[in-house]
Amino acid sequence: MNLTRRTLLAGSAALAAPAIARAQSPSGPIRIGEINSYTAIPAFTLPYRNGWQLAVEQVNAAGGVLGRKLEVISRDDAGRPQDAVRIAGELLNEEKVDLLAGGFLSNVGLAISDFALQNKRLYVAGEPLTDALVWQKGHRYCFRLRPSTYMQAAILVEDAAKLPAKRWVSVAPNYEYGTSTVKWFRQLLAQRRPDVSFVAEQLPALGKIDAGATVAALEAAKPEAILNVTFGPDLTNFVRQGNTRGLFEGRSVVSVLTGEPEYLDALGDETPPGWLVTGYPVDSVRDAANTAFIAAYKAKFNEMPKMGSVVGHALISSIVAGIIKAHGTDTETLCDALPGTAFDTPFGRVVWRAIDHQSTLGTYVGRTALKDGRGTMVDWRYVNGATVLPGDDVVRKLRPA
Amino acid sequence: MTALRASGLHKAFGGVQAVAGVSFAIGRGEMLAMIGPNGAGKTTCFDLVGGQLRPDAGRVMLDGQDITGQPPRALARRGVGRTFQITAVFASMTVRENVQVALQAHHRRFWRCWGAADAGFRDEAVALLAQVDMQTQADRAAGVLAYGDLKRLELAVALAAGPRLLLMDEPTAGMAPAERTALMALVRRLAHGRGLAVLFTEHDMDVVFGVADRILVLNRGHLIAEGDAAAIRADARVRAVYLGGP
Amino acid sequence: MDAILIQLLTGLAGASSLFLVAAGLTVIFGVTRVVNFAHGSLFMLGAYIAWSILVHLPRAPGWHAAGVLLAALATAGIGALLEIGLLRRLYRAPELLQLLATFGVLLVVQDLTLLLWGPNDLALPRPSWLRGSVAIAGARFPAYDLLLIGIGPLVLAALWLLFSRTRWGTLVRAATQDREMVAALGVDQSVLFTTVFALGAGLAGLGGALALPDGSANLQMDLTVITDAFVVVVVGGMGSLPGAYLAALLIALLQAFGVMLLPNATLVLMFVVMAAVLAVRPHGLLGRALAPARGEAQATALIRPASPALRGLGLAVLALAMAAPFLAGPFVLSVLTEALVAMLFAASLHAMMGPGGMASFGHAAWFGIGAYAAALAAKGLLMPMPVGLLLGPLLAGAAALAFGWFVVRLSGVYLAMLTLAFAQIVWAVAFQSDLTGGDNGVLGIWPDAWAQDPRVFYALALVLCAGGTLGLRRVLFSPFGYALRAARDAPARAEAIGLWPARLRLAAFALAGAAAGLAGAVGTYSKGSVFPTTISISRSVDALLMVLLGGVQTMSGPIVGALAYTGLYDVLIRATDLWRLCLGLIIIALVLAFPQGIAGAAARDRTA
Repeated sequence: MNLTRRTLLAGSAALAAPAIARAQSPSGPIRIGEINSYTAIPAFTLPYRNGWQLAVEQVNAAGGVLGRKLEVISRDDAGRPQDAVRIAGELLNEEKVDLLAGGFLSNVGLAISDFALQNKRLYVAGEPLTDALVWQKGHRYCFRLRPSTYMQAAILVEDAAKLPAKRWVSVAPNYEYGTSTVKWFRQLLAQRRPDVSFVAEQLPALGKIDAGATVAALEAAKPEAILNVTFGPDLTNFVRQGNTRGLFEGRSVVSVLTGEPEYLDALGDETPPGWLVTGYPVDSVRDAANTAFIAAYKAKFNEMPKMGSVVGHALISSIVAGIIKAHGTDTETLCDALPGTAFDTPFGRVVWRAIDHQSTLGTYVGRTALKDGRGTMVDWRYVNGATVLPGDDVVRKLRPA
Repeated sequence: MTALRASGLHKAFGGVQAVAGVSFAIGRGEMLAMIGPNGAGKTTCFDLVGGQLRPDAGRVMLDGQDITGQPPRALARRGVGRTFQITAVFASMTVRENVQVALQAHHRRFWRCWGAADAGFRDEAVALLAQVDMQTQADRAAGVLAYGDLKRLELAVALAAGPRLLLMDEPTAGMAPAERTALMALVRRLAHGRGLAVLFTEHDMDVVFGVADRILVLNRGHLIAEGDAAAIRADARVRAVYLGGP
Repeated sequence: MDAILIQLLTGLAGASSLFLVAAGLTVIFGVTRVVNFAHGSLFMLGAYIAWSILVHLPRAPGWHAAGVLLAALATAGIGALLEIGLLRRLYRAPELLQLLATFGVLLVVQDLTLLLWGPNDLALPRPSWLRGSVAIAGARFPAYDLLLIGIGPLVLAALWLLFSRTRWGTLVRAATQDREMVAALGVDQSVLFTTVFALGAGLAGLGGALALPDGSANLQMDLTVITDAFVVVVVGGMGSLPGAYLAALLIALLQAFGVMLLPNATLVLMFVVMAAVLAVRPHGLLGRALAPARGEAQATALIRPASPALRGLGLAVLALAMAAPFLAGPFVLSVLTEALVAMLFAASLHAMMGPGGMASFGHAAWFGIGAYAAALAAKGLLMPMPVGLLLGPLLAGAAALAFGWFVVRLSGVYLAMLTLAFAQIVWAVAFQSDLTGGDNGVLGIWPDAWAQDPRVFYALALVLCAGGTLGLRRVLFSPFGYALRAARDAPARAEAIGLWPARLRLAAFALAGAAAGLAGAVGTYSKGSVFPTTISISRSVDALLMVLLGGVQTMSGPIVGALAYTGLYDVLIRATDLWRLCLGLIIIALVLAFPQGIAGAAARDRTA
């Protein structure tokens, strides 16, 4: 973002200044209002920002959308849903954006989604994982790109069901993402393997794991397999204590998101090999879409993309595809056009589902391994999101009409 | 007539017997001084009578009614006023407001949440301040008063409740000698004029012998002498305690 | 049996870590009385600096130890700079102002760390000796944890020797008791305070560096650590090092066994322990009642009703606020609505903190209860908005009355921390209960049809929030307000004229809770949703910042502070990614320029 321009805007939009009327001319740029937790969760959101910046640059280099330039007005929500709502209002009323996008935290996503419903404006959520966004609290004006909590669990269950283990334990951060991932995983696993049982559950506070005690408590349950949902600093602490105490030896571990570079990189040479994980094997994907994306990303930012980069990039592509199909940015037309629209992402072609506005973007599932003192994913395969989502009848029951 | 009667007061802190069986009485309009060396138990005695402490044994009767162990706020309602050794006024208020708050407390107005407080009891407050010769300073901040003025303000605040008994712990500590005499002469006038019983402790013997109608002498928690100035001056045990000796 | 032994050892290692985090904070508080909010930042800096040093050193134990000590020294140096550059200028300022200043430091350090070290977690590769384990009771116990078990008591012993066996320590202890006496003896207090602050900072840095092998240096450390540190210090008794160790031991052991028995309780266990300890021992395990540090400027400012000029200014602002719907667009109105909510929220905290003399670190509890009451009335009971707006303050006030019964018996930082404990318990309930929708909150609580127009809702908010604020102000100038202030200024004297300080404080607490609850209810309808974040510590800190920024000792302080803080925050967050750095620097500058708060400074100019 151009700092000086934003500074000027903020100055003029300060409290007393009346709204500057900005006529929406069909020839002016298409404006996307983007909100994310840039200062609160920089490890994920900064690569994400790189991703959408690259996409915007590519779109505009190719002549824009419908002959119009694409512009993203980006804001920090400081990790607070209440701030996100205020900023959403600012983007709509002051910046006159055509639609809202972004979000990392689930509660921020839900707050913006509810605001969008109240104001009848489009919101395309990038990263928030909660199922509620498209199911229990889903509505006409909200779309979500990234594979949800349910999908992450469902993708892993496929392989987890083939493990011989019967005694399971789980460790997950003590908030909605953690508890609902564990809930889905247990439910879906039980459907395929009625013989498994969960013998212990650990729910450390997010960011405050008492890793030694947690590992010892899990060890005491003598499990055959472990489901891990912790990520970030908690994961690093957990893995280090687990390695030293031998928790993972001779046990199967299934771990959500751990294969994403954001979290895998921090594990370094302590990456426990053989974990079954979802993630992004950025160093070993060889298909054309990924390769082109990685090359362009490296050229612009001089580093490897992360999972967030893919989400940021695909977010723009998904919106652009909708606008092209709708021949414009009118909210109602866009909301009619988006369902069923296909778009290209680094992970291949993806579709906005009509039934729940979830995209079919999938993720990679594979096993962790050590290569040159760094963690990596091996034996991976891409799982299309469409293949793991529940049947339409189930979705209809979950989603209000 | 007896205003206050304390009988057989005991108070121990940990293993230390601070007050051991002290009994005394004060009559209406009487100035009773309580003296004794440091650690004699004067302040403890005060706190037992004033309700800050509860005696281990013994009784305190005010106008024939048992007030033993009642909290200070209850005693205030029964007509016991008090000033403190370490001066405590309401520093965020003006001199007049200090007295107004005391008047409001006395008239049980303090749960009123509406109406400006500084409009209530204005004249009464100024009148009380005039009694202690502070009326010219009514609008000054109480937090910036000179020490002697603070003591006089405290007296006005204590008087606001129209007390029958006034407890004054070291009322003249830190004052210049001339100020001391003036303040205690004022108290004496009020006591005699209003029929107010006053119990006070004091280090300055000139003040004590000058204004007290009667004097109690405490040592190590015991009452060792009681009487008027002449009797106390002549008491051998008092001389021994104060001057040392056999 | 074996599992119990292992958890016991794990708890002991955890106790050492907690103690190292808390020791510096308690040392600093004990001597300088500074409530150092930047303590977690120093811990974080210790970890980052240690990472930067250790990646360049050979990985043998000796080199590692040297690197850790070097990181601690570097953090001590940063602490000394902080004390000399900032805190030294604030010792004569009103209580808790240092809290505002150190919060500014916390914001600045957050952005500087991101700029210097980048967004990624930095995990130090562990050499084999740090990965080693010892076989105990048939299990592998980390050798490093055994080392930590020893380091905690070792540091405690070293500090004890330092304080009791050196001339410096004797002087520091004397300064803790009586600053004026030490100054009268000709000791240079500023050197004493600088060294104490450096020692505390160094201990924080040591804690950060020692935590590194167990995890990573990351940007969340500061806030994670700061609450832990405060809880340990308060449970132990502020200023007491053995108390801090005892508290760390108690909490770490409960945590270690707690995860086995009650895995769900991880969010609140620590705060429940704190509430329980403070209910029984109001000054912590080994703490003593603090005599007001002599020489500290306990300047109690004279409170006067508004002067004609101030009244005129207030009326002019009010008139402008009433004209806003005709001048401003929906976004500006939404920002103004938010400012109104913040104003009532800050005014409610000020009522108990200023005239009531009870600072709170958990004021968001009442705001949040009001917000959830309104939300649940709307979503659960399908009540119209006015019912929600009524239930908010009622429930918040009732909850404050119930909690207040425990709270008002305490004073100072202990009281503030007990309110924090209650707020955290309320937060955890909102976070984990199905009724409140957990952390996904309650959605779709928009105003009734008649008030959906932003102009109408703004007008409603203006009536409720400005009305509430002025109502509070009126109460504070009523006989009750004066009685409350009397109980704060001189509790013994207040009691001697027939007032009941504890009851007055309780009433003020409930009133403040109800007003905050009203703010919460209005806020909920303006945002359309409510989440546990409304009860978070950062929300409570917001209220504190607004009150301190405006000035505790003036009646218009919270109004000025709330408007200044929300305005600054809103402008900065939209203007720059480095808003934390800017906001932090502005807060520090304001604190240095106006130690009495903005409104306090204005009042001083008027009287001078």
